[in-house]
Amino acid sequence: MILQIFFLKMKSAVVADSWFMHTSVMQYFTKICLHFFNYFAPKTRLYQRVKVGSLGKGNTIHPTAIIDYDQVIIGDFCIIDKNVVIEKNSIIGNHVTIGQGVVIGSEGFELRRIAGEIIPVAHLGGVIIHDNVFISPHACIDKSSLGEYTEIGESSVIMTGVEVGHGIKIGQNVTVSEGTMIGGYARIGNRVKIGKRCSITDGISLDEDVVIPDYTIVTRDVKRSSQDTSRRS
Amino acid sequence: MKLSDSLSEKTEIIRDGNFSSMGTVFSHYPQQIIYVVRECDVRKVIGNSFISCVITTPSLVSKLPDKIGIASTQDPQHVFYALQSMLSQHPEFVLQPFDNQISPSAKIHPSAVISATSVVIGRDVVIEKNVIVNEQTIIDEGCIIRSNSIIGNTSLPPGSVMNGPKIQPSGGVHLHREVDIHANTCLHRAIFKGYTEIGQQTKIDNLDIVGQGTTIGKRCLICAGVTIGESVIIGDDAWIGPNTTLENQITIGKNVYITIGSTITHDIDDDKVVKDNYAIDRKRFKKVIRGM
Repeated sequence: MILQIFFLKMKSAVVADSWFMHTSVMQYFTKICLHFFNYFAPKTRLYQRVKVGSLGKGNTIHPTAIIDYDQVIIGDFCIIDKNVVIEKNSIIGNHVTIGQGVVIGSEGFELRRIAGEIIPVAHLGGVIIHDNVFISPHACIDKSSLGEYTEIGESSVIMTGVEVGHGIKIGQNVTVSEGTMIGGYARIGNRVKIGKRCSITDGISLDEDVVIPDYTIVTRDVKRSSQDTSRRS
Repeated sequence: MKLSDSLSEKTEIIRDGNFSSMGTVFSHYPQQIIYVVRECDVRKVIGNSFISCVITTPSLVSKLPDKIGIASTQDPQHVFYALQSMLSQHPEFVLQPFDNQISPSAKIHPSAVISATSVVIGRDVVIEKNVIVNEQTIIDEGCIIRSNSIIGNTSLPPGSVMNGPKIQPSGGVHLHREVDIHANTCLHRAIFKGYTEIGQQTKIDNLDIVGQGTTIGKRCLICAGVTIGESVIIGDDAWIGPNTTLENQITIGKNVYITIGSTITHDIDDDKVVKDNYAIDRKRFKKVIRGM
């Protein structure tokens, strides 16, 4: 918990852009802290939420699918197709369909530029996929950092070639169409419809019942009342 | 090799010349032959001293410099790739095969497919599930390649997908140290003798496509869903946002910030912010944002 609060403070814009953090002493200090965190945190069981894996009844899993059964919970009556990769700390509900070549729970894209180097932040969270979710081929769902979960709500549909970034919370009955990229830590409400090849910036929130047309670039929060029909918003 | 010996009779040879390698407007191979279709590339041909022969359209012949050999046809791209498929049998124009050199400290998942010849894998490399690594690939130390990615597959040249010549690529892919390639990414191998290069500490996110012959600088961050065309040059410390598309044969300078969902069709200088379709100076952009 203390580490989590510390990292959230460090990531906030007020701290990260301040003069104090850009001094060379603090740069090297944060660099050493990050290296220390990346080396030791994945080895502890502190953030490892799924400690014992389980597999429900009536699943049809293709033999070429690679699943880390020791640390993955899968419900009943799921369909998992060819070449699917499911990494550890993933929780999958009942009646979920996962298409060919989907990667669930791979490393997120969170990196820090410190002292002329790029240092990745180790991701320790997982992915929760609720009941009746449909995921089409070649989608990617990244795991969240710091012991949280990337969530996909009940009865949502995720179509071909969609990237769901780290730490995203998607509500119930959401449709995400082909080729859409969703940035990290976005919040998407219930019954939202997102069109084809949209790009959604990280850290924004879309209210319930919002409809986003095809090819839209969304860089601000979208409120429930506004009818967002412009091409660029 | 002489220009008049290698081309067919349909192309009109205006000035004869020698060449010993194939390349693009940006590449620096000795005595290279290139093709030019766009008028904006003429300035780059004058600046590049390595070019010895050019295949071009009749309208651009008068604008090209005097010293280089010129052949003109209506379809230079098609003629150029036909020449490439002919020269891919020639030993001077192809990277030679060698035995695999795989370090014992590399962690390779058993489901990964690695070519039987011409692969170098350095120490502490991690190759995850279902990855495909083709021949003529060099992976330096500390690289991570995540699930379902493809390294070094063969791409088709643009514009000749249906009836074009069959391409046999003669180059490869070179990943420098600490490169991180995430899931479902595809890196094409270079068609000419050379490498698709990715600089050290560059990180490439999910679902990206990197075209043949592209060189990416050091410490770049390339987000999800980016499509990079063929023979693009990207400078150091660049940030390329999600869902961006880059055109073929353009240069992008150092320290460039390309925002989400942009489409880029022109060259971009150093220290620029690109929003949607136009570029702004990066320091000026920061001033405007602070003033608001």
